[in-house]
Amino acid sequence: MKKILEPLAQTPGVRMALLVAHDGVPVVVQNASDKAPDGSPEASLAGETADSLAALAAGWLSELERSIGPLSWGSPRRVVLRAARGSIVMTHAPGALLLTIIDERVSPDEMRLPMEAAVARMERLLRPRQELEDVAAPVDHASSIHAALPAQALHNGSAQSRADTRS
Amino acid sequence: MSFVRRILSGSRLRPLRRALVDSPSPRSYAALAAEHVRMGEMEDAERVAREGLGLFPASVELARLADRSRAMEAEGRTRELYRELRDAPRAAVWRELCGILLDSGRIARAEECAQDWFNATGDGNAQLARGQARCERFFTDRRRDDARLALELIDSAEKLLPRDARPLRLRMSLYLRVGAMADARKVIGQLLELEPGDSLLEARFRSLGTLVDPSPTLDQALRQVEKTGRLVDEDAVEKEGQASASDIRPVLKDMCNEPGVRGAVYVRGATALVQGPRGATAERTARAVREVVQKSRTAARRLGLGQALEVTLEGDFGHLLVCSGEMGASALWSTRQPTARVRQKVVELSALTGTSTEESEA
Repeated sequence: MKKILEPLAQTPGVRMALLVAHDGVPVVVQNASDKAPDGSPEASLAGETADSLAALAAGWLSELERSIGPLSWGSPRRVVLRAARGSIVMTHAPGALLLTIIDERVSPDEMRLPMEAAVARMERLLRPRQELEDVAAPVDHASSIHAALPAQALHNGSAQSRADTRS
Repeated sequence: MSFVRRILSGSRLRPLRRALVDSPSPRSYAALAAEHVRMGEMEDAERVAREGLGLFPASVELARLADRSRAMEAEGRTRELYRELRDAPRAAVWRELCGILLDSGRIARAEECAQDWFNATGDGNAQLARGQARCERFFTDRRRDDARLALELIDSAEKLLPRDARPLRLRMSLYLRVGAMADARKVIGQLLELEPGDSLLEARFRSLGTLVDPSPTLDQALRQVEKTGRLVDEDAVEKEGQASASDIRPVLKDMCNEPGVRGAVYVRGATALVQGPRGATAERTARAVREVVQKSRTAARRLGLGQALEVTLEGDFGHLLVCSGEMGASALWSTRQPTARVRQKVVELSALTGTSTEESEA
């Protein structure tokens, strides 16, 4: 997952990229502020720990969901907050939220493609496992049935053969 | 400036000055100011631009030139002061540098400079400068934590500078701007002990006496500022510049005529104008937009991003674009991504200083 977020964090203008669980716990954090000079907005943002940032962002999203809930609108797929000293872009990733904090000079629309690409990569990363599980599950099921079947099959087979002989 | 360069520049300035005398216009003033800028004479450039602004106050070009030359002058002085600090760091240089940086709105740099000053000298003035910078940060971002930190720094400055009125004045301005009138009155009382006979302070002390009773505590006031994003003195300015709902309604109707747009909303305080959705849905839409604005403003401040300008939500419902202005907020609900033209309209609407007086729907 870190490798997936790396290119996102290295995009010019991105201060931080995080993968956050829906309850606000950061799963993966990629911080671009390590090389930022003191006093810069990046460095001041670095003061905010990823924990608090993730919790605040997840809390804000759940507040937004509550606000638009009475309109029977579902959870927003993508949320952008543009502010005086930067923007926050959030998008739904598999089982989590993908979140980036960007500079004020970068348009949030520029983050659409890289973030969608990151989400797609995450889905690809998770898909083989899911597929394996999906494939494995019927095999296991089949084998378990198979293991349980012989006696039954034999029994059915013998019953059927008996029926045949009767006819 | 060298002698040769002065002669050359004089030959270029003379015709421009003559043109200004013959036909004083924004263009001739701007041409002369721009020539001064080219020659590096920022002070003269600003003087000419300000003189022109006195005659033609609506000239955008002259205003821009005046601001630009002032900024360049400050920039040049800042570079000199940094050089001076490297060679011979001393309190006077730090103080001037902090002042210039604060005036030019470079708050982070000013705070950094004050921090260096305090680390080097442990001076109370440095702590006061840090407090000033943090106060400015609070006035810009309206974040409660910034105000608390500013007050801590002012406390520290008061201890280091006993019998000095400046930390108290800074504290007073912070209390007054957030609306903590009872606390402000106490500070003015302390200031009057230090500076007895100050008629302005005495008048303010008396006038605050009537406002103290319903005054919120400092914590309540800070919470309110963070929630609404508005300082008390801004509310007063807002009440002066009210416009009618009739200014806003045509813009909302115009936005709703765009293809894919399902609704447009303008909210301000407890009132709202809704175009598109009807009946209970209109009320629910207005409430949702208001809550989105409030929550987003608070979130932006807490995340350290400053004032929230724009929120976009995308989902099965379509697109909701909310623009938050100084006075109100406007929103657009559309089935597809809003075009640049529609987006511009939403931004312009949010920047309107108008107000609606009733909750209504179309």
